[in-house]
Amino acid sequence: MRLVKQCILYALIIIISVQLSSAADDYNYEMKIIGRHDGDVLGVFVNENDTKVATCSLDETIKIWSLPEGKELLHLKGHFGVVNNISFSGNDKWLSSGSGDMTVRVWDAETGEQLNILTGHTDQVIGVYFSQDDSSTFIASTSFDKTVKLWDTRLASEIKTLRGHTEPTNNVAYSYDGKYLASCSDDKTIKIWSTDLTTKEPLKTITGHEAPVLTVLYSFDSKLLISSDEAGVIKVWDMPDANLLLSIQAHNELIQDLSIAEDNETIVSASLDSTVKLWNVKTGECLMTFNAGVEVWSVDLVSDASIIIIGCSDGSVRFLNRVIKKKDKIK
Amino acid sequence: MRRIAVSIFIAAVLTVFGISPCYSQLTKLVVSLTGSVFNEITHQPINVKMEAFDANGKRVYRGTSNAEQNGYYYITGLKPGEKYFIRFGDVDYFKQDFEVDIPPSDKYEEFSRDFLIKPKAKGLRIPLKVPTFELGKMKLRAGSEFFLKNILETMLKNPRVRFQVLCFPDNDQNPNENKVVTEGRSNSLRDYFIKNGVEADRILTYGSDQTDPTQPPPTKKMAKGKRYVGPTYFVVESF
Repeated sequence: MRLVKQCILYALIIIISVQLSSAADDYNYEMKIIGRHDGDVLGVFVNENDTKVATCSLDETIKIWSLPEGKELLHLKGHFGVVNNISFSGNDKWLSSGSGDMTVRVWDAETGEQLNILTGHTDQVIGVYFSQDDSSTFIASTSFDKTVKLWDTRLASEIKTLRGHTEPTNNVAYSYDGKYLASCSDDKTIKIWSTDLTTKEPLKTITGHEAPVLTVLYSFDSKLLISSDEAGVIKVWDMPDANLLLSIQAHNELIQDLSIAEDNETIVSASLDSTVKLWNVKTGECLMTFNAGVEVWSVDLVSDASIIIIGCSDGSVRFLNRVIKKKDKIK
Repeated sequence: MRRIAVSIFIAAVLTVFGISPCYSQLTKLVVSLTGSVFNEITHQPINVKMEAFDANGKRVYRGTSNAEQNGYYYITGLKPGEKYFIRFGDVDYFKQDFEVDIPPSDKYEEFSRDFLIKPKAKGLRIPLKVPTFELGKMKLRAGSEFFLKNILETMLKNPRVRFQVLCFPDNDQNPNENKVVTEGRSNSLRDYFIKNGVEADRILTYGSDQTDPTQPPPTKKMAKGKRYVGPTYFVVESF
């Protein structure tokens, strides 16, 4: 009887350790530098089909690279200032960019042609996000002028200014159901706005961060909102009620960028503490920590998280490729 | 009945000759421009006189922004697809003109636009929002004209105003080197303004060897868009 119990115990230990090692193996990545900008890479954005990734930089340019190869396809020039952020349209046809030159620009994602220059912000543009619907009519932008502006790409014009933040606004994100817009600010709040053009007041103001909030992001099912701040904290909120689900002291330095995988559970965070981390937002578990050896400004990933793309302060664009295990190769 | 017949006749003629006027032309459709006006230095909403002119110079609006309503203004009766000039000018503010292109539209819409207006006061420091120099450099970087356009136009529209160009360095490492860089920067800006029509005797220059005490370099890592380059100010000497 004692022998049987011992056997069961050993068996359990073996099963648990196999599962743990398999979980760790699932998040094993190798890093490769695929190209460079002439300055810090401040934004990374993967398109809807996982076929292209765009990067933007302190060098005032944007580059588009192929996925999964990492071949440089286009080099877009036109901004007169630092390009702080970029976003592909939901239909992958266009790319928008926000810059220190106070403009939002729209580019043809296929040819690289500059289609529109949208002026109206009165300070540098920090965040930009294309509406993710098929028509991709609208762009939202945030600026150090404390406003969130909505632009109609058909009219090439500003159509709405959202006021309410009391400090510079840092980033903005559309919900994938198209109903809401979230903006975050140095005033330590997140504001939720209706995309209905007649509503100008925020629907909700979310407080809880104790430092300037640098980025916000909706999950693909629009049920979660994820935010990060200058103190290295990530918070997860259930939407639309905005109840706090999780708060993680994730990094030792500011977290400038976050992204989410299509499972709506796995997020990746990039920090100036030089690490990239994968998290499970349901449990708060850190799935992977990768030391890039250089400050990381920006991050995005392909839908299944098999490639993580990071933009670094030394101007490099790097791919973290998930290492395929032997048994997976046999399959 | 006669009116309908005339309308049909005009429409037929236009169709025959391939002229297809947009809906807005046929219906005299108008749109509006609305937003807020702020003090460029304090960013507080202000009361300021404003006028709108069409491309032919005809005044189409005259009014005042409302500081009590967040600097709100509302200009209606504008034609879609037309260019307008919004002119500001008051005792306490510099004369400033802004060009606004109203997008084409076939329905009534309200377009949004905010304005920042420079207050007029001796000793006032008007900051240059976007640095026109790279770190440690004294030559204007490519594209600087875009950021200097606004202050240049203010100088040209207010010919009695004298300014000082005041530049601060990027760090406190070497005062002697800092002085060379900041004087070089203020002279580059002065040369730019003279080249673009501003009289030389209206522009003074000063380069500091110490960083700006009101806006010192950060001691911790800064987020996106907050990289420190020594600030530049245009100081109002007299008007």
